[in-house]
Amino acid sequence: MIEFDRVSLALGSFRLNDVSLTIRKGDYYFIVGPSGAGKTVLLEAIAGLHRPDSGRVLLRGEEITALPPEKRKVALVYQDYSLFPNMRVSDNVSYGLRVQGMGKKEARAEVAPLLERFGIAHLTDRYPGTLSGGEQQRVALARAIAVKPDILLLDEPLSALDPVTQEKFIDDLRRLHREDGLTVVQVSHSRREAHLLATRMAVIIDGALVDEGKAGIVLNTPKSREVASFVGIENILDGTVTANEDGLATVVAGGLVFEAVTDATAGEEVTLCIRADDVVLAAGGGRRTSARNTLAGTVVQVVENGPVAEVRVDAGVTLTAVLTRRSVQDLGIVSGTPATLSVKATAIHVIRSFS
Amino acid sequence: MVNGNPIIEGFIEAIELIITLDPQVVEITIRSLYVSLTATFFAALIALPLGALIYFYEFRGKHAVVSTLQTLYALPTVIVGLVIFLLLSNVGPFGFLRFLYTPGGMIVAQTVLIIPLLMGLTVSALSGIDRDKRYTITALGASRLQTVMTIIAEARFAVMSGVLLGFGRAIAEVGTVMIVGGNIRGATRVLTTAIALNTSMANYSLSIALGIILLAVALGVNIALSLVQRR
Repeated sequence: MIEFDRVSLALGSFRLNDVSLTIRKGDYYFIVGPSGAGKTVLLEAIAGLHRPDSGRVLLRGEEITALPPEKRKVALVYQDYSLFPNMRVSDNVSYGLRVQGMGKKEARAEVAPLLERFGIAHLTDRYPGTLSGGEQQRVALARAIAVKPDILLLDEPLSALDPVTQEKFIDDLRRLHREDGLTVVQVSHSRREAHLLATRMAVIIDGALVDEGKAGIVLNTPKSREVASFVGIENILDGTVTANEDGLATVVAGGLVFEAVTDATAGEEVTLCIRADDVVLAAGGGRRTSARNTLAGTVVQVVENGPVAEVRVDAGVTLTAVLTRRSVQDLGIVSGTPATLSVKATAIHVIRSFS
Repeated sequence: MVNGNPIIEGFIEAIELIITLDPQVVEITIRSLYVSLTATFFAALIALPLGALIYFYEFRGKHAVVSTLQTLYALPTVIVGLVIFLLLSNVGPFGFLRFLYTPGGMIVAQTVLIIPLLMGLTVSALSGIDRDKRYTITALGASRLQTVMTIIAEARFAVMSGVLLGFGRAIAEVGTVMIVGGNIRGATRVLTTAIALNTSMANYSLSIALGIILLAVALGVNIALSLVQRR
């Protein structure tokens, strides 16, 4: 649908370097990356608010690099909602229709169903300053949807909301994407949001696109150590392949020996990525299992987080396992408990140094 | 001890002058309001579009222009008075207008005095509309002109605050109107120049009466300001 072909752009201290990506119709596309990476600049470039210094932007195969924002059929929602404080809710929501030439009454009538849909019909005559954060966010979203955009652009839309409101808003966004078939591009630094909403995603670091593809693949099999770190892989170990037999490699990392499924050959420098979800923990001596990697160690920290707990184990290197809190209680795991960790060779994602 | 104290007597007489709508007090007050309101109107007419131009257009030296405007907020009124006097005097380039020692000349002087203030405050008011809002407006399909008009409409209360501050500076200043107007009784005498003259002549009651009215105007401006800023 919209394609960036080697786009470079400098804007103050922010820059995009040679970014190529494709957003397809119906995608829920996430742009993730650390603060200052250039995510918002990229989003604004999709909207046409910044013209690239080099490269091309294509829409349905046609070049639109110089097409102004008002002709791109996009709508943008910022983190701070950017509502007009001196306009009532109905005027805020109908603003896009008004500037496109629709009369005030007609525009108000047009947006009435939207206000109902987003549960803000009772706020029609209120000013934004009198609304809660969640209500303001719904008004901003309704205003964006009112212009019937081809692409909805969202800049960290959930970051200013409390957890309960966030959950409701995630449902709203999911419905918009699935039921209305809307193409959505969302800037975020939340892996959880990406897990819940994204169909495809791009990782931007220092203005460069370092990974792009289906969300599940980017999140679980990152292409580089920095991406692995950014997408929240809990256990990342640098090591060297010492042998490889039929695709099952032996890797020495942090003084420990791991087995992992990879084509990496002996002598190759690799990075092992192990999700804490994939680490099985047994208290005490443990039992023999089919897992190719079994490591003995001592629990050094238990961090409870809702229904689960992250258990950090010193097994020569510190590895993290995620257990239910119930399991932690049943196994009597506390700091100092001897533990055995098991990881299946197939659960280890290996990043090869040349990839 | 009330008797014999000229200040307390002055206060009492001042209240009487206001309550009885003393013709001299009314005439000076009306002239003051007329001169300063007209000057504010013309200054706004010139400064608001210029301030908007400075805000919306990127050009080399923009920062220096804004800094200069801010410096001119504190422009000494007597300097403006002197410059306008020289320009409007018989030997000056605008002497043919015969504006010197007329309310017209005073309006010109006060207009010049508050234009930098109004321009600077317009730039500040528009800057209060953040970049994200500007981009949101554009992305929602607004043309450049519609974007500009929406931003100005959104900043209207801040712009109005600037205009009220300009009026406050105009009506309270004495330097330009004294030099350009000449403080002529029945012609160019305004609240501030009348207070200065009557105080020097020990005519405290009239000075105090005019002072109370000037303070009331300032209070009115302040109340209007806070009402506007509450929006």
